[in-house]
Amino acid sequence: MPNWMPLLSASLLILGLTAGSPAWAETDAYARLESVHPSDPGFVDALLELQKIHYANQDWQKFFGYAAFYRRGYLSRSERLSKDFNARLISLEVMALVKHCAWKEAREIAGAAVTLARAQKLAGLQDLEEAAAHVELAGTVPAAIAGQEATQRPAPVFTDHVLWKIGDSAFKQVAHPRSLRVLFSSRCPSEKRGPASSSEYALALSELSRGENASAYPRLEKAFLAETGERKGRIASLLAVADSTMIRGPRFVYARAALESKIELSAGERLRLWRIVGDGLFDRGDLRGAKEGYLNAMKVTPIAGLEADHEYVRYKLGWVWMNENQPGRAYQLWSDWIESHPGGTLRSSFLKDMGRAWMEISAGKSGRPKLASSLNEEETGILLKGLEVGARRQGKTLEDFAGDVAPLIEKVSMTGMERWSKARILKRAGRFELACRELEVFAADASVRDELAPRRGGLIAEVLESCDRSGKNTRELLVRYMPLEQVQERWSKRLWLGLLSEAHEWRTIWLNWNTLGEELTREPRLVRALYGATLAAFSEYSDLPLPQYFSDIKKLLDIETPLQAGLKPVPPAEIRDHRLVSDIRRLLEMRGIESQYEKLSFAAGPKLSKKIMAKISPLKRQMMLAKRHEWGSKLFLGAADRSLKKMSLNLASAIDALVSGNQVTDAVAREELTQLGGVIRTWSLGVKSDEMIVGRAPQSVPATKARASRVIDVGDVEVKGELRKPFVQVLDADRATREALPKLSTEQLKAYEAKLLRPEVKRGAN
Amino acid sequence: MLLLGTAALAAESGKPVDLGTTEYGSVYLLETREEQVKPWQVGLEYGADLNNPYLNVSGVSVSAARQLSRHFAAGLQVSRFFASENAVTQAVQGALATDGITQTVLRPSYSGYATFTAIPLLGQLNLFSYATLPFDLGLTIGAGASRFDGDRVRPALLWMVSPQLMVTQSFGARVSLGQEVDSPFSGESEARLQARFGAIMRF
Repeated sequence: MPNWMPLLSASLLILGLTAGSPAWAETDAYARLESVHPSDPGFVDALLELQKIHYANQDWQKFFGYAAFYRRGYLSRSERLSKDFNARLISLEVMALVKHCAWKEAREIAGAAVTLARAQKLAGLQDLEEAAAHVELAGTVPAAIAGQEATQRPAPVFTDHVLWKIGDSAFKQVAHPRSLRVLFSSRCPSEKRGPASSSEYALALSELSRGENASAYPRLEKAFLAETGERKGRIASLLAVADSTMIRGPRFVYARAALESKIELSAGERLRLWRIVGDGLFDRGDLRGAKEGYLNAMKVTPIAGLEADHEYVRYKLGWVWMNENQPGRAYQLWSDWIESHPGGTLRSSFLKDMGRAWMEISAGKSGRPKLASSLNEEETGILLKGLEVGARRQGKTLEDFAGDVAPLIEKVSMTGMERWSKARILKRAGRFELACRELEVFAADASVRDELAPRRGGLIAEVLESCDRSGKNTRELLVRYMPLEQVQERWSKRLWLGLLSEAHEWRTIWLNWNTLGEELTREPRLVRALYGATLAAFSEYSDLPLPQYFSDIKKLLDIETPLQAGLKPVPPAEIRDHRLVSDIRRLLEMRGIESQYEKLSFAAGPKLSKKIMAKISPLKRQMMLAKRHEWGSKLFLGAADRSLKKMSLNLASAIDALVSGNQVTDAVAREELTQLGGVIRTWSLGVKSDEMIVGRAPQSVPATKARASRVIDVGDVEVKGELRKPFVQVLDADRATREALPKLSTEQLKAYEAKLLRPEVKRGAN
Repeated sequence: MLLLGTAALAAESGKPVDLGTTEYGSVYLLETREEQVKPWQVGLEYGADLNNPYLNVSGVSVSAARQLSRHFAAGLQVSRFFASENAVTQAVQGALATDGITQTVLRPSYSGYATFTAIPLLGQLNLFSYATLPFDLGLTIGAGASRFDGDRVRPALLWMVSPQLMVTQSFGARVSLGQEVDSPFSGESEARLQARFGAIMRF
């Protein structure tokens, strides 16, 4: 029989074995492989198959014996190195050492093998580099990769075997590794529950008293796992209030454990622990659990000293209801608290978010509740800010709610551009006298003149018109007060530009180019209007729908020659470099990938994780770019936000469909996917719009950046995003998502192990 | 990266890279004995007390043990003792009898133990390169009861050190030295030092 026959037949048997053949196949295959003599040319291949079996069966004594035999006996002979060198055998040993947390040895062997392969140009360099990389990866999750099974094997003393310890000289005499055993204990930290840990507890307390928190909290966590009864509850109460960066477990788990234990807790402790439970679950998106936590916290008797905690709990409970689309309950809760508790550290937050909640209340049959009117001027201003934020979220302005807002806004004195907004709201609410008074002061305010935009000027004229009551139109007012031929101030030039552009009097603008041209070139909105109007046959500019807006700008970008129609040319570079143009480029790029997220679906399979990541990465990249981009126009920022939301919702829905379709059977994976979907669903650019100014001209608006939010780690993909959360919270950080990292690393290592253990059918050479 | 850098440094410095230098754990050679562990061992021994100042005590012990592995065994051991007064006791008894005093010395009668044996040392002896004799040293502890003639059954403890040598695959010889402690942890506690020898059979 040719000498490669045993190897071939054994390999075939192993292939069969992996496909579910009975156990005897392994024995038969194993015996055949073991029968290959070291002098046989196919010995190294047989060794590899044997090592795979040892590795898969966690028979580490044999595995390390064979590994030592191969490495010390074969790889020291330089003359046969190119023939005997087997990268996968070495990689397996490296991974076995990793499973025993023998980092130093694993690094040594991987490093030496890479160097050797590189120097001698041996095959498998890439495999070895991959193994070296996995050593480092495994270092991040030592507990996950630990070969727990290794410690479960009976020690030799409990077996029928007799082992004789040997030294180097005896080792060299060994003819075949079948009789070699290497005893090597795992160095991985034990995850098992240890014996009674009263000493750990005592040590931890001692360390805490000395301020050595970094060592005390891990010790406490260990003790928490081992202890029972009251002591467990006491430890949990300590861990629940620990700095979340010091502990591995979520604080809310400890808080719940403390509450469920029978230890005696003061009212303050109970309140705090329920609050931590609520916060922890809120961060994880478990609104029901968070609500339970906060409601239980609210049941704690409000004694002196706990007002701030009660205030915070109500604030957060309101946000639970906001997230449950019950803004009416949130508004009522916050409103009741504000009225009954003057002062408080979160009063501003309450007021602002009351405004947001009020805006979200559906104006149904009963209508929205009456806005609080008992507030002082400062508080009213804060409430108005919240109302404005809420209005913007709905794509509206405060003017759309002028009737409700006017009684509030008239109490607040405003300056600059805010005064103009106030005037418009008052005008819309029919309070013309007040509006006109505000407008007169505004018009006389030199500090705002440069802020005025042409369109804004036109709107002022509109207000003027309504104030005038004389029947004269705006043009007449302007002609009287600011005749075009005489205008010199930039403010009045812009007023005229606004009026003329709204009236589409492009020729008048052209005729007055010497007066208005300078302003024209500085005002991209007008440039856009003029060019857009020219290119689109003088189409309506005012309130152009967004697609038209794009269309005009895109056409502008393509212009290489001076424009026709008698308009003075504007250097294309000025347009290209303009912030608005870069806004549109950014937005168009984001919209360019929108189609990839339509009708999205995933199927369970080995590459599921990769497929999901392939969808997350571009989305995350766009989000990063959008967040870094300095937006010149909030209009585009809002559009980008909607685009991102559309894509992220599609992606999250596809993940949800995967989970609900029962394709994924592993409960942990289902949980992870559910959490991932939840996180993706919350992605947004976090458009921040705290200004009271309504419809401020883009050029006058300082560059807007998407609101920075906390970092969420989703495996190796770092994204920014947020749940719909309040501005004020005591956060545990997004541990839920951060916990995905060890799982993904472990998956990666398991996949690499599977690759190493994959059987091969190899024909030996004669 | 660091590890690659270190190894690369070694290579650049001209030092040959040898994968065989990294060692970990302890290396052992598996002995493949011709005979498997036989699960049962029975023994028959004769012995005597070495420290009884009043009685000449001899005895016969029968033991049976189940090998749990090559290194551990659990079993039972029963002993029957034969005792007679020594010359000193007889002289004292005779002297006291003249005063109408009868002195009685308690004689050990039976003892029985559940035993657990650890065999930390085992190996093979080479007899003039003629034969290989498996050898092991067992450390036995036991808990059970003992009875003296005319007395109640008392709790008792046992420890023994027992070297044994197999002459054939099934038969061998054993000597033992140890103590039986009657009524341990009480005021009546009494330790009897014993030596035994006998034959064993494995099957």
